[in-house]
Amino acid sequence: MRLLLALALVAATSVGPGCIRNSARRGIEPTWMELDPATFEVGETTRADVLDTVGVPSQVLALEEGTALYYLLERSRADGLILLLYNQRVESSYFDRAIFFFDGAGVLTEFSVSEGAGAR
Amino acid sequence: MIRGLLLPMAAALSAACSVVELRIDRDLDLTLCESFTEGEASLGDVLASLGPPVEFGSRGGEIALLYESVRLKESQLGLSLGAVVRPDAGDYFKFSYGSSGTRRKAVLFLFREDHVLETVDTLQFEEPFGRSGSIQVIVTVDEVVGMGGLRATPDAFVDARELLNSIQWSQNSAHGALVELRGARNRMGQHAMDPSWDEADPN
Repeated sequence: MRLLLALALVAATSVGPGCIRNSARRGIEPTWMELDPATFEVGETTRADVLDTVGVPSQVLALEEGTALYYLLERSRADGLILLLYNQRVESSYFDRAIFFFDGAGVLTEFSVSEGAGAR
Repeated sequence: MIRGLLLPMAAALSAACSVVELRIDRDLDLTLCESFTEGEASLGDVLASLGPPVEFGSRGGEIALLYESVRLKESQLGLSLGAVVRPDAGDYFKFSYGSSGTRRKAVLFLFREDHVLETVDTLQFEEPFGRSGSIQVIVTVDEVVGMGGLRATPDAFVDARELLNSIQWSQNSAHGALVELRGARNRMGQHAMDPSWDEADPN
């Protein structure tokens, strides 16, 4: 009986349950989320204004006439539960994005920014 | 009595199951996506309603926006046969079984040169991604079902490294030139001449 108790004690202390949590961020710091969307005005704001305000983009796309600037931040988070017989891990990746379209003269034609942390 | 308990305890401790879930982007509301009228809605309307897209591309003045959400679930069962047969045999034999499935939603918008919506199409499906079993004679921990394609790095994070890739890969994946679902197979369509993922994708 003592051996059984000893085994149970060892099992409880050395191979007991555990949990995992980690998070990571990758990409451009989302300064656009701190700005009022009214900062950007279609037909008025220029490409230089956006670059000055938001910074260097993740991606620049050359359009037939004009350009697009694309900003991206990935937030990933993983939560794990380790029980001896059952283990679970949930990993989520959410993105904060901003996109700006400019005409050939470099003037803003359309734009969209994600709102709130991890918004689409 | 103690010996009688040891065997069931060893059997119980030698088996375990794991569930791994992967969620990429927030769940997509397809009814909202289908509410846009072709020939009327503008690029600005879609952006204002759905936010920035997951991927976008441009060809000859036309613009494509892709929105996508992915849910993937993988289940694994492991059993150390050696410990069940003989508690002192250790983990010389291990049986593993795993399966995974996906639930995916995607919407593709195509806009004309004047940024008016030409067409919108939605995709929603659930599919078993694969299942696999193995018996190992040594103890290893590995992914049972390959999910590398779905975990690919967004194009926006692939910058100058593309210059080091083979010319076919660089031409096809160059910024914004190609809009495709996560995990799309290579060696088909625009990727017909690509080397395999393992050979060419540095991510």
